[in-house]
Amino acid sequence: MTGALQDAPTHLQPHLPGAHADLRRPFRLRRHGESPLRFVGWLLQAQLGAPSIVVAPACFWHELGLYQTVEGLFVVEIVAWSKDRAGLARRVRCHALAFEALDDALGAIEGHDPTADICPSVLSAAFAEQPSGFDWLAHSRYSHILAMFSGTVEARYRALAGALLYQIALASARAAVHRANPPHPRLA
Amino acid sequence: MTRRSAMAPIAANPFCAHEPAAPDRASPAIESADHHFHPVILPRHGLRPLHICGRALLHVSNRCVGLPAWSELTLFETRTSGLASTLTHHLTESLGGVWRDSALHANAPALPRAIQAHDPMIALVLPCADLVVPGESCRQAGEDIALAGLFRGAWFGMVRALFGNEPR
Repeated sequence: MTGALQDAPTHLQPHLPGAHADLRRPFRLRRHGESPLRFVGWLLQAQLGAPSIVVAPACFWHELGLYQTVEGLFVVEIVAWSKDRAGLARRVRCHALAFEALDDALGAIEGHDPTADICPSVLSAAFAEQPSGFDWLAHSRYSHILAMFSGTVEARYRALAGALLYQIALASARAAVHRANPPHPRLA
Repeated sequence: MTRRSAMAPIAANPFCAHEPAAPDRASPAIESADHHFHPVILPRHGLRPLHICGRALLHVSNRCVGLPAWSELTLFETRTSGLASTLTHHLTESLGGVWRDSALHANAPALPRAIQAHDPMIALVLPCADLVVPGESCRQAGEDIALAGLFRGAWFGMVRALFGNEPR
């Protein structure tokens, strides 16, 4: 063990559960169309979204994670999950972005467009037949459903991001109070 | 090392958006019972939370038996004598789960206007009427739509009970 707590970010030190747990470990985060992002660090906070279902087979949700590397970079991980027709969950889009400033990392979580992660495979799992030809009614019905679906995805992602950012802020505030009131040496 | 109480104002939280700095004028809020102000973190929808130093003024909820979707509203007075509100809509899982948002209000008249202008239906994920097929999902969709109506009525009932029946 190489003193993980000494290396840990100062504002999160008391958040780590105890001096004996070395929570620093290597991570390998998938990226869409790029080689995986590899680093050694800590998982600060993660949040798993609830599946958004508008059409019965369409099942789509996001997963968020915030990491810190030993070099002091902040890494935001955004994974879009979907269920295929067989009912198996699979990643459809993976984003992993590294930032020097914490503010930029939180801004990336706030500013991510979740509807851009809806790819054709999600929709083909949901709709057995896509509208074709000059069937105006089928096209209008399809576009209406798409609008509902993307609205749901957007709302679910915003709720998820808000929950993640709230949890991080609470942990940070708790750590600050803990630092201001360290436990008695006999209890520590 | 000097010990502080857990309720003493803590350092600026790097994970939060902060309320604007206090104006120089001495506000009545600061003169009275300063020790009732605590650092409070209020969740927002899709954004980093608000970090205020405030005290709770009131907490209302329209939770009752037979209403599985209900709302909560909490008001805070900030140290800078502004107002902050936190809205929570507790919805069933099929309607979208928990929805929370907070906002700062510059003065007292702005608060009822903002609350009355809030549309609770933005928190709902309503079933798509075009896609309802006969069967279990149809029954679920019907229940959801009926519940959404109840939820909306209960929300406006609560707002009317709080701020009176003002024209919007």
